Parts: sequence; C-alpha cells; structure tokens
Amino acid sequence: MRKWNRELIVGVFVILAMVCFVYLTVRIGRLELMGGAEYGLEAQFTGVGGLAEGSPAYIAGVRVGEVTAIKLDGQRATVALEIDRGIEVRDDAVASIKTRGLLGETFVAISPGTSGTILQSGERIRRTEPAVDIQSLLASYAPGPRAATPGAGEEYELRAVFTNVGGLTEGAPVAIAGVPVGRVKQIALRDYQADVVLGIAAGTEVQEDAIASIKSRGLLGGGFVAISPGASEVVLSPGDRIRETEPAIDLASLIAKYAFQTDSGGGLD
Amino acid sequence: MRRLTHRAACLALLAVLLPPAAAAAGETDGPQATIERTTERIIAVLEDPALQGEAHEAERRAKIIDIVNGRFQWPEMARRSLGRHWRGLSEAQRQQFIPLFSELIRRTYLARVEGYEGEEVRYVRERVDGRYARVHIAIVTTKRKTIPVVYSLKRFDGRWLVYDFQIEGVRIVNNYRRQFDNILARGSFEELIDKLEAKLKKMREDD
Repeated sequence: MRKWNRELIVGVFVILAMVCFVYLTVRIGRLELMGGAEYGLEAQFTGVGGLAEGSPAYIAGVRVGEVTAIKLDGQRATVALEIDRGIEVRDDAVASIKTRGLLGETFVAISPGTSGTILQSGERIRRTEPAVDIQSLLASYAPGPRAATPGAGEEYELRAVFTNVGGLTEGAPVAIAGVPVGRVKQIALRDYQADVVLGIAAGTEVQEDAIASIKSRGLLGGGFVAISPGASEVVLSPGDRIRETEPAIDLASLIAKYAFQTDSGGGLD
Repeated sequence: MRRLTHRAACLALLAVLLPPAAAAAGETDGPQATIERTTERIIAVLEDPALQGEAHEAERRAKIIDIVNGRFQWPEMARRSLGRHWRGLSEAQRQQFIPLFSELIRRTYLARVEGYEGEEVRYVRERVDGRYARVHIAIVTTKRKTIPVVYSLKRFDGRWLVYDFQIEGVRIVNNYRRQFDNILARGSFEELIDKLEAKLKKMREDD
C-alpha cells in the first residue's frame, strides 16, 4: 500500500513535469496552435531611407516582425508591416526608421504606446518618424533607396544640371521620400557641368521648384538622385529641366578642411 | 565645423545684400554686380568707425537688416521652403508664416555677420538663364580656407533678388524644406507656427 502510493506520486510528478515542459516549449518556440502567426499594420513616412522589404521591426530591440511592402502614396512612403501575433501595438505608438551606424541595417523601431486602444490587423500607426537624413554636410551620406528601380513601365524624361555628380552612374535610382521613382538614363559633360537625364515613372509629378540633390548610399555606396517636392502649381513636362539642384558633396575633403584645419585647396565649386 | 559653416553663411548673406547709394539708379546691374554691391554695402556698415562697439549695435543691425531686406525675396524663399505644404495653406496662413520665416533666417545668419574679420570675397562667375541667375562666389577666410557659395536669384520687376543660396553645396531652402516637412507630416500648421515662435522668442532673448 505504502509502496503503491509512492509510485503514484512519482508518476503524477513526472506527468506534471512533462506538461510543464510542453507548455514551455510552445511558449518559448512561439508555436501558434490557432490562427496566423502574424498580423498586418501600416505606417506612412516622409522618408524611408534604406528600408527595404524584409527589413526587421523591433520593439525595445526585440524583433517582432518585418516590412512586407513599401510603396509611394502621393509624396509619402507607405510601409506595410507584419507583426507577430500576441504583440500589442496601441494607437499612440510611434514608428521610427533607424539605421545601425552609417553602414548598418535599416529597420523600423516601434515604441508601442501606453494608452489608447490596441491596433487591429490592417490599421495604421499614425505617429511616425522618417529616416533621419543626417542634416547638411552628412546629408549626402544618408542611406538611399536600395530597391531596384523600376526599369519597365512607362516613363518620361527630365533633365538636371549639377556642378558635381560625385559617384553617380547611369542606371542609378531617382527617389522621392526614399522611394525609387525612376533612374538616371544619361550623364554628359556640358560646359564643365554634368547634364543628367532622368527617366521618371509616368504619373509621378515633379514641380518646377522641386530640388534634385545627389546623395550617396554610405561611404562606399553608389550615388542616387533625391528629389524634394516643391510648392509650385506648375508641374514639369517631359523634356523639362529641374532648375534647382544640389551637387554631390565630397565629405572627405570637407572633413579635411574643417576638422583638421587644413585647406584642401578645395575647388570653388 | 558648424561654427565655421555658420560664419560662411553669414558672409554669404553678407555678400548678397546690397543696393547702396550708387545702386539707387543701378538696378540695371546684372546678378553678379548686384551681389558685389550688396556685399560692399554691408562691409561698409561693419567697418564704419561711427558704428563700432556695443553702443551702436542696434543701429548697425538695423542698417544691415535694411540692406538685406532690399535684396531678399522673402515670400518666394518662404514658399519654396514649405514645399508641397504651401499649396494647402490659406492666404492668411501664408501671410502669417512669411515674416516668422524671414526673421528666422535673418537671426540665424545675420547676427553672425558681425563676426566679420576681413574675409576676402572672390567673385567666380555668374550664369544667367532668362529670369533666373546663379552667382558663384568664394569666401577666403583669414586661415586661407575657401568656402564656395552660390546665390540663386530671380528677376522681379527688373530687380535681381535672392531666393536661395548654397554653402558647400547645401541649399538653405532644401535644408528648411526637409525640416518643415518633418514637422508638418506629423503636426498641424499651428504647431509649426508655435515652434517657430518659440524658437524666435529664444533667439530674441539670447541676443
């Protein structure tokens, strides 16, 4: 009788331990027994920098999902996110685009919010912070669009003249708010300036006071053309010239000039 | 670096401003001549022995601001700096924005013009394209650094006025366009005005 009791106790204990083990496995492995493993949210940004499909989304540094699509919506970028089920994001959450270091991966950081209601699948995170374009001098080294530029499809041509195109090459992307809207078709030297022909996707409007800037995707990356939309009602027609431009900036010589107090003998342009 | 850039900016501004006594009848001047005269006028104010010292600071500033206002096309610059958001504003909102914006630019750059220490201004070239022109200058500091500046001018009623300028390849209008876009993408026009007013209040106090 006594012996039987002990065996029963051991048996119950073993079964309990197994139940605990299975439970923990499911929890830790995030095995979802019912429903999909993720749900969708979206967010709009004025600039997405080097964000691409597949870029991760983090809360407090922990990976909670990924970017599934980026598209240009008017003059902003709409980013679709897939978030692990069970992760609650509230309607006062803030989504920011960040980059690890100058050359590191670009990701979406979500601060989930504290009050308000929990966002449901398909809803939008309203408060966002765009990719930081490390202003002024560093601006030309901010991450650029990574996605392939639209090669197929209807496009029209615009021209822009730059005093310096840096590492820009034919085929390089043209972006608005970090989203590719075209490509560089031709670069020619004319009157000691670079005359650049841009192929812009049909339907993308560029105003006559838009500014085209040459930027670089990191210290070693290639160049691209960023267009900042203007205020004018007048939209450029095929063949027109974007009058306002910013040249590529030679960061190395600028640093030499200002940080090390030497004159690089810099050009006047 | 930042300080130097600002110094360059001031000088840039400096260089841009001027229709002096001689220029009263001189509105037939081309873009580069316009910039040259403006620069000379400002330097003349800064070097005027009768205007030296703290006691004359207010008078000196007023004179420089006068010169600057006569050479900058503020509404055009403000419109371009707001970019796509300008189109959505009412006329009243635009009129509210322009003076705040122009004061911000004047305070950011002009206060520093007073740090002028005899830097040399070289006129490199001008390019005229119909109503528009670019004037390329180089400011040579006392430490022999060369800072490239490009003015963008547009002809209004026969006068060449500045609507943008570029220092080391960075355009002032695009710089503000990015910042205003970030504010307006998240907040309302009223929030932008509040921010500008708060910033100006602080700048006025620091003066």
